[in-house]
Amino acid sequence: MTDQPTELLQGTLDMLILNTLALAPLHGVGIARRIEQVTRGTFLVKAGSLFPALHRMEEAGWVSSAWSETDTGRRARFYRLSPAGRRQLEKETARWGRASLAVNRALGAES
Amino acid sequence: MNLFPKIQSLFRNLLRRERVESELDLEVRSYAELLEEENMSKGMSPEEARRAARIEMGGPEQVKEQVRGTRAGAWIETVWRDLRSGARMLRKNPGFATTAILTLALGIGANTAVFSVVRAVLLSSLPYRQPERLVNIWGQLTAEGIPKNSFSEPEFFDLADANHSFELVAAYYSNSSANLGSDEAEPQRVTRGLATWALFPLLGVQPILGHTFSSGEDQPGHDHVAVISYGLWRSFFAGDPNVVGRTMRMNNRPYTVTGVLPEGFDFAGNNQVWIPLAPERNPNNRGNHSLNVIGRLKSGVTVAQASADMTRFAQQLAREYPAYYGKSSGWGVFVVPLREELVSQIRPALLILMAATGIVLLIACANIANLLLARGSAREKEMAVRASLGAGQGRLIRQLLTESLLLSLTGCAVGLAFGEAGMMAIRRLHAEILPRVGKVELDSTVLWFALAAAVFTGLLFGLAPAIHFCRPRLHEAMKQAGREGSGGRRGQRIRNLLVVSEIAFSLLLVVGAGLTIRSFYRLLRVDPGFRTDRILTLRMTLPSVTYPTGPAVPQFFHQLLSRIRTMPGVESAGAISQLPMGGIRSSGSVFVENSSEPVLQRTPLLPYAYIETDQIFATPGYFETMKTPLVSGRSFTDRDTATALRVVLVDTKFAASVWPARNPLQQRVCINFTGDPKAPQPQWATVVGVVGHVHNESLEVEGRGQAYFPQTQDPFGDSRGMFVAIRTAYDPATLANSVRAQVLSMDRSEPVYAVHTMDEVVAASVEQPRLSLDLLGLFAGLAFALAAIGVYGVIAFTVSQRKHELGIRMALGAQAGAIRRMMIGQGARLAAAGVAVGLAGAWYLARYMAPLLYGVETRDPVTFLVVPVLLIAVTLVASWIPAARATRINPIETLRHQ
Repeated sequence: MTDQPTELLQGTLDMLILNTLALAPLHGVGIARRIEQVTRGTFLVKAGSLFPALHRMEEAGWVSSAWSETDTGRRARFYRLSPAGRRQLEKETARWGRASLAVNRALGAES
Repeated sequence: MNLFPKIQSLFRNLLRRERVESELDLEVRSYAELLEEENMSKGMSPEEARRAARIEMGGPEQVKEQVRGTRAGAWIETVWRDLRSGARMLRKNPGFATTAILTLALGIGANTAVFSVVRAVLLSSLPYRQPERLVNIWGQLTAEGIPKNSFSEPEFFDLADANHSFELVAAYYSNSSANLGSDEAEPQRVTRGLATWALFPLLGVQPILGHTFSSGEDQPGHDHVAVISYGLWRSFFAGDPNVVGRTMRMNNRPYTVTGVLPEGFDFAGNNQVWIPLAPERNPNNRGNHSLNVIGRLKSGVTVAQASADMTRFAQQLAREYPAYYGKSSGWGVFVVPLREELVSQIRPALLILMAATGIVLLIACANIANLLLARGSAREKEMAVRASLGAGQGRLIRQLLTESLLLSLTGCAVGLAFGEAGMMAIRRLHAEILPRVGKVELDSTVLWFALAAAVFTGLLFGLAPAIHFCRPRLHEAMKQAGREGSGGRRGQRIRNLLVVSEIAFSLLLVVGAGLTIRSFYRLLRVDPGFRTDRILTLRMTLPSVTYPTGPAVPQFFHQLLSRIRTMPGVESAGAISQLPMGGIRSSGSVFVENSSEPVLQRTPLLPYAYIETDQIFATPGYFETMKTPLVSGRSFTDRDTATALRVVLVDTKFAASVWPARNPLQQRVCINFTGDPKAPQPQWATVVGVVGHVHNESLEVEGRGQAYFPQTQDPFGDSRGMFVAIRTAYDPATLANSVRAQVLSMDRSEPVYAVHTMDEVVAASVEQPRLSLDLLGLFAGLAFALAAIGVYGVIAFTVSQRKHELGIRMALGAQAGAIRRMMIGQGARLAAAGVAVGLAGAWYLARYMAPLLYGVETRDPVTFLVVPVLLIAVTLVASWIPAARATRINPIETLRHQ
């Protein structure tokens, strides 16, 4: 199971994207690779999930985007975390902490 | 959550769609390029890199579609796109679209029109204060054949004193009218109501000017005041704001206007003037029943409690006045809620019509569902293509439903126009029989109803095809793409089921209409006792101020009739105090000298037995004009003067019930007594002739026996209001103006009113059955046509579906006749199934038609035989047309085509 890359739940994906963007603005492929890296390949982010998530969050005002050039000189759309996005990330992180603690506790009690 | 960015995005998405789309396209493309670059940097060849990138990313169109799905306002866009594609579909199939929209428009229009009537008449609350507490109070003498009787004046006062249930009671009557005098214009006749002072406070009506009657004004001698309607205030007094205190002359007597009623006030007929009813407490009037009584229940008192109170009241009266309310008379008093009083007559007809329009709409839905299913073969392919391009099943169902709703809403819009036209027709044609018909209008409630009907029907006829076609059977559908799709066995079953239910439903309606037609036919075949053709009638009432009781009134009419008889085109003329079906009915007790038949009643006050009859005054020439047959003896002549021998004509019914075994001629009856009240002397009148019985109330009601007296010998002065009947040589309506001119040349101040041909008078009396007949016939015809179209459609579709198979059959030697039989056989099976189900339903439901029928059983064997035969015949014809087409299939061509 752990060998196979897993699809992400929507809320979790949002949180991971926000977390990734907290360090620096990134373009789509960059975000996908970064998430793969930090989760050590556990989560594979597909374009079909990434694009809707980014656009939704942009419409919610959590991220903003602009065209810019990559290191290799290609044009790409870069996403940047907005102050509202940062607040959202903090909220999500706190919620996630509580939720995972509860789930871990439940699973621990089970075994 | 911050709404502002969302709203901003919504506007951007909707208004700058192209920009947003091209940005998205660029972004997706740049994403793919970046992936490619990455792959190449790992050492892949450009080919490999592109392939790998494509695999990782998935289809760019799918990615874009998913982004579109998450956008703010995505649903608006989806709906919009579905609407546009739906509109495109409809434009591409104008025949289908027109058929479907018109079918729906008829269905929704009929429903809207009938619903607006039902709402105005049955559902909306009465325009009075707390109308649920208003009740009418009636007496009854069931053993004497009077199930519902007005009150007499003494009874009204007893009720007011002795009841425990009512806050207020008021007496009124309104079938009176008066000549309204004016120096300038031609005199006019106004409708007039009389009421005791309590009526207006009881109803909770506030005048817009002045005040209504005070309790002192309904005393005899103080009653020359009038409350006028809004309409009369505007027309006669030109809306004078100082009208209160002005004087108006009615029947040549002055009345002071005390108040103006609000616009739209309507009670007991549209009276233009109300004057106080000033009952006298004359104990001898106890048997003279003429007052309608209304009461307002005390708060907390139920109708049942009031009924019990009235029963107690009736018993109390019976104990006090045993001579009037005998033990065997069936005397009682009961209450009827006002709403019930107003609508109970018309309710069954309206409910049946509502059900009928509902059924028409259901049949329309079934038809459209069938059309949609039949179009399915083409759509199936389209759906399969859409599905393989990434549209989800829910999305496809939504699209199909959007199309259906588009259809039904367009149908609704057109239907509202139909409905409005229908309402106008109803308001115009049936104002007389529908209470509060003025309230029939297209208001928001009716609009909501139409909209709900449209959405409901859209879902109803859209859902079956949507679910049917959106099951993922891409593979199958694609495979069949080249050939005519089969629609599948399941599709065929649904179609058959729909057609069977259409036939069954339409059978219900056609049976209903058939019963109504039979009933109406019976009604028109009733012999009313007179001829209606080429007769002009009009009414005149001479006021007692200018024409005192005595010879003046008959003299006026004698002179008028002589003049009319000399006019060109007039064959004969006569006058009568109550025209058959003319809305005026006066009855009275006729005392009989030599008879002791059980139909006769007795009163302790007089030594003679009497019978309740229509008591009528007529002039010479009347019976000849109406062609009422003279059975024996003679008719009235000019020699029957006030001083001549008192004479009377009786009808055959009167004669048969009073003198069953004797010659009625030369028998004596009386309606008036003279001399000392302690020893009254009867004024005997001798029967000189017997005439045919006349239906005075309506065609349906046979009515009581009749006694006619010469107008010259009227002892009461009751015959100052007369109907003049004129038999003409040609179209009677053309004579109206010259007759009016004759009258004005004799007396300029007396209005002529109620000018109608006799045909119109009789037609008005059958207006309610006519309404049921017209509408039910219309709806049944619609249902019938729709069902026939449905059958035609299904068979035609089967033929086109089985072209291939039929071609092979014919190539193998099948005869045209056999093919035709096969196809018609399918139609016949559908018809038989539909008729069987429909007959069972009709057999069960027919009982609800009973209140609408005259002279026909609800399970009338003729109707129940003819209608199914008719329906089967029409469905066979409907399936014969496509079946005949099937036989013209050219086998070679069909086979080559495949």
